Amino acid sequence: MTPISDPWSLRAASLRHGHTSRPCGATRQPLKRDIMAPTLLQKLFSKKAGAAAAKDYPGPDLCWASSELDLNQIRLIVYQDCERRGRQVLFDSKAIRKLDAADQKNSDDAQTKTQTRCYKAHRSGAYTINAPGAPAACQPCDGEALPSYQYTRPASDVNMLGEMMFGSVAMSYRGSTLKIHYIRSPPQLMVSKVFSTRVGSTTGSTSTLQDSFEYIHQEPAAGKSCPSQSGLASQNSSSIAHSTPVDMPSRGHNEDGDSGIARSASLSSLLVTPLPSPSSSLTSSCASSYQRRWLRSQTTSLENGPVPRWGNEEIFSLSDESCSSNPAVIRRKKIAVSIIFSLPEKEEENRSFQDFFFSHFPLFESHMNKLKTAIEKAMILCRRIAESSQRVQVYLCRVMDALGEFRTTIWNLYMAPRVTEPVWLTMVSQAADKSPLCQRFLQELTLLTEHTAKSHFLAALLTAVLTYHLAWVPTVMPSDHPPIKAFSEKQRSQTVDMLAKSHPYNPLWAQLGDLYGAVGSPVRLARTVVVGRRRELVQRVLQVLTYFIRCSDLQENVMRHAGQCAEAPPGGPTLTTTLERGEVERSEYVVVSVQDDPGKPRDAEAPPSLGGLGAAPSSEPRHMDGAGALGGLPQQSPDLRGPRSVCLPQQSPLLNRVQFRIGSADSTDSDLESRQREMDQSYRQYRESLEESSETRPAGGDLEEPPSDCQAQTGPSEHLVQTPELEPSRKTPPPNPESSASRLQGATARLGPGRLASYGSVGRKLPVRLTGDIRRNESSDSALGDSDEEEASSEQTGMRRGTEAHGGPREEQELPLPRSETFSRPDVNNFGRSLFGGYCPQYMPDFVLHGTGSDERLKLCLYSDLEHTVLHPALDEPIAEAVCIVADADKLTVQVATSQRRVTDSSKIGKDVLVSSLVSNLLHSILHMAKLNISPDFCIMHLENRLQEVYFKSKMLSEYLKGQKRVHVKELSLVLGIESSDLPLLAAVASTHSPHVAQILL
Amino acid sequence: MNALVALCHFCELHGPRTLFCTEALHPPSPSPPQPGLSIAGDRDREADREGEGLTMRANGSASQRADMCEGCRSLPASHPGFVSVDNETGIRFLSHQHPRQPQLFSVVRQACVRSLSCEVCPGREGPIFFGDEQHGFVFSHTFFIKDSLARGFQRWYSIVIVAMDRIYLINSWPFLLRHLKLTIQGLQNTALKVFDSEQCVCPQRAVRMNSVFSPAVFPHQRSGNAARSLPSLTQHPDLWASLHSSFSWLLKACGSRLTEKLLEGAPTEDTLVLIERQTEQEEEMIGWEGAEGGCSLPQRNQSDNELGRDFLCDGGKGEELPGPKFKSLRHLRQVLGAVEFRQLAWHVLMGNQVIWRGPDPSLIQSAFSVLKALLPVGCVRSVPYSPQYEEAYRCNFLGLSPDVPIPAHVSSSEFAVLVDVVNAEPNAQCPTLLNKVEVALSNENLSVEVVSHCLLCLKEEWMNKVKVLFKFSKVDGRGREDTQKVLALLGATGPGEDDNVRLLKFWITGLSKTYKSHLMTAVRGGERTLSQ
Repeated sequence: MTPISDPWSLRAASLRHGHTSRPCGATRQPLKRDIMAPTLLQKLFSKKAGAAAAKDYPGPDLCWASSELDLNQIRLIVYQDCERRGRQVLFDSKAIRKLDAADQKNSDDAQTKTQTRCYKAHRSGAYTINAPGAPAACQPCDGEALPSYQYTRPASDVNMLGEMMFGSVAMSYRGSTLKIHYIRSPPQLMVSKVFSTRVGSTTGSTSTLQDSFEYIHQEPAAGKSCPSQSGLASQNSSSIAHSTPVDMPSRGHNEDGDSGIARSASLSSLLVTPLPSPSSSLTSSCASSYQRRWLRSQTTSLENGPVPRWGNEEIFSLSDESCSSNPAVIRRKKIAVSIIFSLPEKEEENRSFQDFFFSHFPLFESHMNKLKTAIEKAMILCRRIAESSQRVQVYLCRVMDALGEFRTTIWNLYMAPRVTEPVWLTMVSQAADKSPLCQRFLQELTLLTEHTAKSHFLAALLTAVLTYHLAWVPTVMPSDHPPIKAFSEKQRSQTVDMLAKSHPYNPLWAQLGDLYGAVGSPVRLARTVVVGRRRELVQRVLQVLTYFIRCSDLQENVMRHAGQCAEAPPGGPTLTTTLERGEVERSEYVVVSVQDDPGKPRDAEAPPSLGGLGAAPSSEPRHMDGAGALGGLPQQSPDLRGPRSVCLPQQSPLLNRVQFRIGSADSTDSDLESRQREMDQSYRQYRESLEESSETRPAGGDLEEPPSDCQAQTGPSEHLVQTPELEPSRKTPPPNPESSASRLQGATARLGPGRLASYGSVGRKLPVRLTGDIRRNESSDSALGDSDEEEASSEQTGMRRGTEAHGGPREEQELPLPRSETFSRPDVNNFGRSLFGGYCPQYMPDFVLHGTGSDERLKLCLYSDLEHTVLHPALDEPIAEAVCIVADADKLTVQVATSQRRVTDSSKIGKDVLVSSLVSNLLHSILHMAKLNISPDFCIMHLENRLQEVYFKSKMLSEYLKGQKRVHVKELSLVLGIESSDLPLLAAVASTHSPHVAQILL
Repeated sequence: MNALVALCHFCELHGPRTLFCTEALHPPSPSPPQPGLSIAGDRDREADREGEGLTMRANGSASQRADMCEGCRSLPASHPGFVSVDNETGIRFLSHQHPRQPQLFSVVRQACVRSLSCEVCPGREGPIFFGDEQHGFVFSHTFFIKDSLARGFQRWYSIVIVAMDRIYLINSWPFLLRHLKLTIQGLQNTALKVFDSEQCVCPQRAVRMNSVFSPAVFPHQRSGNAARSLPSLTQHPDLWASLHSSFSWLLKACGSRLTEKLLEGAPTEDTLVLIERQTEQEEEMIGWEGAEGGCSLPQRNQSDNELGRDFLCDGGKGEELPGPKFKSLRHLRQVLGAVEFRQLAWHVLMGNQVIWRGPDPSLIQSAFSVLKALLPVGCVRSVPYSPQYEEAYRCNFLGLSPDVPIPAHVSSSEFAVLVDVVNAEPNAQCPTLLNKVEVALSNENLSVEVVSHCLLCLKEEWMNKVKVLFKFSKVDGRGREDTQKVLALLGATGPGEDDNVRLLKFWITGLSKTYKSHLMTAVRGGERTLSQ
């Protein structure tokens, strides 16, 4: 085998650990390596694709990690809001001073012997990245530990922060509340979770802790003075004494609860009947991705009203599970856990951290939940300790540990090295020639296959990866439309594209689910860690896996308001009707100047501009002369000569200037015809409604002045001339084209099919509105225009009647959507770019894939991480199982650890992976095809075809299992030719398109 | 975006009030109808219809209207609200003072109260995010608007964005903040201008300082001032239309801010060939139309249907005609017997001509449609029923009436099978594919669907081998030795090797033109890059 070089450059990570700590040697190592001369492969690659890609994608090193994260920038505050005692700070990392070795020289000397690991960990104020030893969460804090923390004067801002956490008025809501605040100076971001507490019926909860703080204060040995916490608390409580809980309108959920809409995509996917299995090769493409996204958009839809999805019962537990809490005794008490990030002062760094924070929020939140659990445990634990000073120390020590853990995790998430060019994503995003990429990938793959052939390492790893990171399945499901461009190019799923437009869901969420492989049923969340001392080998493995762990590529679309189109030319306004640009068909607009030609057949006329009409009512009489502000005027059709049509400005000289832009370039004659037909109908409706409304609304004339004088005299010119007086104010918003407020020209109107339905009703109601409004405004000097009430009701009934009579056309006044220009650019702050970790100094819990040199920490944390993932998945939906694939590149073993069962054998991390013969055959074929010098592109195509075969096999399996209740594995191999080693893979693949498979096989 | 935007105001007389609210209504269900999924969509539509009338709005706000002033109101009660339709997606953006759905009414109300009187924002102006699963999640931005007549010369407003998907909302924070800021600055600047001009005319500070303070009159004085509306503060009569536009845009832009590029697999060869044939057919049609002066549309559709049905493996055309027919490969096998069937299938797979002679066209047709399933679509050239013999290069499936003579060279050929007269022994070793098909067919436990999936798997598996062989021998033009290696690699060697190779070679003819031309051009392209 050729000597393995380091083809994948890593970003130069530098560490800054607060003030005292310094990066340890092991983390320095990567820095050195990175500067090493580029290898052959690197050269080869960077010449073409690499250079292009680097230009397109500023790698992770260029985006979020442009700023460094200081561990001390992360502050933790735990606050309590109690009915009786008011607000109390239970923890503030800023107010805690650790007793440094220097400070405590004497005591240190005396106590080195009894020093616990716990203490050691505190030294640096935070965990060093490579800190050996147990993570805080796993490590029991020794109750006998010496006091190493000291509560000092609370920071000056805690009162304010408390107000922000709990709000100025208490809420009666019982569930947990999430809040994010931005504090301008100094720039900080605060994330708070406010929980209701569950208090055991025994002792008075945290009051003991509070007492303990007082104790510290009194304890002279503790060093510097700190003001009494209770004093602080009483101060707080007095300041909010006046506030009474706001009773929030609570809504009944019974209605939605059993509506049949499953609120979770994953759970419902179990209930959903399996997708229709296509009998021919014409399958519905990307069915499972589509469905998952569609369900997400439905479950988070506002249109169904807010329905709590899950995890509503999150509370802060102040009691052991053992002592059952008596619900009657529960006092109203809330606990807020807040994390405050100090933001960098530099604008750029500030923004890049914020972008990272907000796009990766689910991960932050998940770690916050972990922190909260640790705080809970610390509180419960310390209450058992009788001695006050010790109690505080145990509490502080535990919470500081948890905070250290949190800080480290966040630091890692932000700063750790990444795979700069994940193969799959690069292929997806790169429009240009993919051959170099294919070639490079194939080279890696074959090298690795050969290198590990004996141990089947790669085959086993790939089996596991394909079994759990299932998002590759939709990418091989055959599409049923012809390729647009080159054949080998897979195409964008059009159905999903359309869905995203019509039913927006969160693409970031979709991507995260893809990466974690949470696309099957039941939902499993998978990660992969490659452990190995040989850095190059590990990196090679990582690189190869980034082809198989797939997700969608995200693009950011920047939409700008189109330039102000309807700016009035001197001498008079021009009414422009715009259609926003169709994004699919790249078409220009046809601009039609409509001339006011009475002799013209009405079919050819554009419908009246509703915008102009709509603007009229809100223009008050006193403004009318000055600031008519109607950018244009409604156009009138000869047909509208109903009794009320007089009030519509009809014969404006400006009509000649009215410009309608209709449709797109490819709008054909027939299109126009249909539009005209619609218009006809709309006019007919309008006429009818006019007649009817004059019948059904006897009061119409009584309430208002006769409509005829409403505008006939004021005339269009008064109304419609845009006077310069108001112009300044309308233009004042900053010259940014995106500023949307006050940009709309009141009278822009829009012509298009589908709009016209509302035309009739709007026109019909208009006269009423006009006069009504004017009257109201006239009387606006008096405090409240009381007459509105009656008017409104009578109008409403009239309107309703009209609406009902006409089968309920919508009554809203139609306005055009602001036209915007869209340009796309690759999105950098997405999970596809951030969750492929590189060769990291230690195991990390977030990454979908990463490599590390040692499995020490992995062994310690893995199971607690998996359990945590099941409890608080970053995916924002319930999951059934969390899985971690651990590949040992030194021993060449692959094991799978799952949250569902711990391995009894202590030498193992998880269960060994059965090598699928499908996968090993596939690798074998590719390897030999490459050896036969078949072009890399073709080999990759063949690889995809073989993956597609796996998909077809899974379809067969699911079809076979349809009628079955229990199936023997032997039977499968006999009947379908499915080998038992392939079964886990095929079953997992099948579960992405046929949920019933899981129920039978798993 | 699955959210709504609302403008809220803290009225000095009436407390927090929702002024103006823009919702996005999505089209019911864009999904290809799938059983079990349409329920939600239907319900949506129901809800839609319910909300259509004015009842909701009236109910919701009736209680409030009594204590509303100018400042607490946006659109007059008589105003129908605004709507904008995104034609591309069918999303409708609706604006009213309050949301139309009753459950959303309280959600917005809650968001409004929390944003203006519960949550604390440092500096009072700025963004906050808050929310819970029950009440939805809210991104709120509070701000002041200058008012020369108001207490402290300013009024307090907020714009809230309410959504159920908190992750989405939080992800969108930077975007929302950026754009809301612009909207807010726009409002503030216009109001400031108005404020300045009003102050010029009548400096309120002076008025207030000079006026005699009397507790009795004070509240009354103030209440008159409290009634100023936002349009009057900004002197922007079209403010609400403008806000509607702005909010609609925000919802739209935020929803499409990020898009996924999600790839799907390449179409199968069968799909490609079908599409190609259809295109050809259509082109022919167009040619015809040109010649004959246009053929009517229904006819064309019909022929399309026939075409599709013809190629689909399970074509259901036989149903129209009476008489016996073959329902499945297994059925055919039962009728013919295992041995005969094996022979027949062998000929089919090898690409030999299958001539079926008999009086019943529908029977023959059904037999063909069943047998076609064994082959890639591209390999099937069929003449269902012909009055005279057609050459093998024209068709590998040929149906004939009983009295049609068959040329001697054909009937004696081993490359043809005549079903009414069985002849031509297949080789002792059968292609691997056939063996596997037989296993599946002979197992009565497998349903027809499973068998067809099984067949699909086998065909695709062999099609992939075909592609490699094609690439290797036809495109790259490798020698015999290498070809042998590749055959071994493909698992085509060993028992039945001759037949396997023969099958592969026949199947190469079934590759789609698209695929073949792609490989050819790829090679040329590849050579070019190599030479560079």
